[in-house]
Amino acid sequence: MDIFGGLLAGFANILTPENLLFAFIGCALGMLTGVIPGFGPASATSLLLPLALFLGPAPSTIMMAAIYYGSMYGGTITSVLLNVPGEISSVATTLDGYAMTKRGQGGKALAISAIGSFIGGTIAFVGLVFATNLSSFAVGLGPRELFAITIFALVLVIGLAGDSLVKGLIAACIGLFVGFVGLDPFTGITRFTAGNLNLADGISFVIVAIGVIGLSEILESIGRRTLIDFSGNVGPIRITWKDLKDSSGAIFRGTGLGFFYGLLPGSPAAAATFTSYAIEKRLSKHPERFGKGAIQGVAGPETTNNALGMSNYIPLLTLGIPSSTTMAILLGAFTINGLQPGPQLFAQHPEVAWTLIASLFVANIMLFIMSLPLVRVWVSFLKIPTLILYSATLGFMTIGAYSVRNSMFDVLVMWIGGLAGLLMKRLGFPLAPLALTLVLGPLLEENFRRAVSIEQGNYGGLLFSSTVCQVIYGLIVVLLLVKVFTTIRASSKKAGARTGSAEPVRAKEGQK
Amino acid sequence: MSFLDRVASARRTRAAGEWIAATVNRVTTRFPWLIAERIAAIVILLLALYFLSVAVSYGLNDGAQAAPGTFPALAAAALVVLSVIWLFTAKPLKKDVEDETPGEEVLDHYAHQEGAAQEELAEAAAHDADATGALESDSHPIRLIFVLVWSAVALPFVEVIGMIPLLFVYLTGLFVVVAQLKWWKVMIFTALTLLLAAYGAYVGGIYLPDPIGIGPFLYGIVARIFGW
Repeated sequence: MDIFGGLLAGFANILTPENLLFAFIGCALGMLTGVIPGFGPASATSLLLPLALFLGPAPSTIMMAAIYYGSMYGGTITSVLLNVPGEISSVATTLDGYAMTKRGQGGKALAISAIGSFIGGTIAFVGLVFATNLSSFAVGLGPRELFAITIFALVLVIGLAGDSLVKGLIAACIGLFVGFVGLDPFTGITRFTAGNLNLADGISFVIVAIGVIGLSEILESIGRRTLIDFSGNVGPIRITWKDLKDSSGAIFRGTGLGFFYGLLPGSPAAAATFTSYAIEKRLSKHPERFGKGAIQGVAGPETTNNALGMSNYIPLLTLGIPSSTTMAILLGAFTINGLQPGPQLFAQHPEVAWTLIASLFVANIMLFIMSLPLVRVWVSFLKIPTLILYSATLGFMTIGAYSVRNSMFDVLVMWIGGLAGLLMKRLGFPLAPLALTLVLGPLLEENFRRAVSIEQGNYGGLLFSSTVCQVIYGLIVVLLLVKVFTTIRASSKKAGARTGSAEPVRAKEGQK
Repeated sequence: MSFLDRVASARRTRAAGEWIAATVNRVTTRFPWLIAERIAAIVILLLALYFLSVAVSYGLNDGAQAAPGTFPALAAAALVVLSVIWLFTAKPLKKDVEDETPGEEVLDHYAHQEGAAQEELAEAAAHDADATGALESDSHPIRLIFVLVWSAVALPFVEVIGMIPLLFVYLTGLFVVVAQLKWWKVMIFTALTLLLAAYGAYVGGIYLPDPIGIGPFLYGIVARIFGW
């Protein structure tokens, strides 16, 4: 199926009343969970993941994609109005977005965010459509190469997303072990079940995602004394031609930047949005206005974030590599419906792949329509005290976790996951590597074992038998060395700064 | 002042908090090496060793193929090495370090990201510290402990009284104690919401445990009202 034929078929599928309804429900649910303070797309999609179990492959992927996009739009509302970014990539938006809210221009900030997001998402969509060609190159890759690519993606995510390489790798290993529990697909023996029959079928990814990502977020928020409730004024939701003209450059630059960053597996979304912010400040005739409510400071990062959200699908759909926690959860939604994103998806289930791609465009339009005129409706949800939302969400999560396999054991696993996630956050562990290995772990092991079989038990051949593998492993070594080097340099700089700052204190003490 | 706030500020609670803080202080003074990160590293190391021994028991070599234990053993070995590295490189948690500025952690994070200019990073860090630092410093552990204990006490009764009655009790408790809502409003709102949720689950084909037969009972009432 060629690109245009596939895309037309995708639009034909999505434009049925039933699928449009799923897209609409997904957008609304995504917006709704996105406006819960502190909830980013990852938490929102993990909470709503059980919904994917009860729909077919196409409706569930449509709905999950809409939820993801909707939660990104919803997250903007809390970033701008409450100064509470749902995830690290939204911090750049808060810098000028919240400053605009304080000046009574919150509505204007939300409007330019929606327009920028729509334009960025639409242009990135065109790029995504053409980038699907990459999957045809990836079809020829064997288990050795796929194993190497997955390791490469993991190293990128661990290296770029977190502060500590060691903690990132530990989190990745923990995710692998959760994936090992249950029946071994090759030999049929049970592994790591400690004789517990409930574990024989393995630990569901859905349950762990709800617990580690969603529940831990709620528990962390509940444990705070200061809670965020919005009682301010949004201001008029309109922008002038002058605002649009002022922001147009930021929007188009943000689109290009976001699309480029999204192509990289493990793309650091925060770096992309801050780079956009930095560029806009540099190019501005009034850099002194940044941080005090410059409209370009909202338009640039928001557009970048949404364009990146769209182009993040490229490594997922063409290589099967999720580039962020949210993408890992979406990959989980695919796998529980028996689909495996990657080069084979376009060959085996082109209708699902193209319907998903078309649904992204439809969701982008829907959200643009829903977010501008209905912004006051979404803001009204912010006026519900957060503790009510958190309490209700706990009840919803209990039903969601139970419904996965009709088992209270799963609810217990969700709570264990939630506590573990909370503990990991407190200890400074990044959760993205854990989410990634949870989903990719089984695939990683499958490719490893197939590759060993091909190599007749020669483990050295696994590393060096093909040129692609040699290049990828070489890149992995370089990346790891760079990460170790930068970590050492950063810690020595920090130690130097501390010694420097301690000197004047000592001098003062000496004078006394 | 809510019930949980009163508990948090009660003399006995404060005394218990002070006792815990004093005990932790005594232990860490006596064993300065023992900090939270190192304790976590030791726990992970022990788990990794256990996983390694279990993985080895599944077999490591199966002729020309990888045995069921090969890949888990490799992962466990990596985890052993990583936890040992962490054990020896662990630093006190930022909260424990008094001379640390609130935004430093955030600045460190951004400093690792490529591309963005340093001044924007510093600005962002200061801004983020304003936004989140204040939230993190004033934790409400009593509220969190209540949610954990209440969940641990209530949720095991699902198989005894059924999902919907249990969620009614569980959510009522959370709404009244945590969200500080009026009990009679909560009961009406929760009951109606759960009835809708139960209907939704029934339509969606989700089985919810109902050992006391509340579903047929409610259906009987609705059927009588509408003459079904």
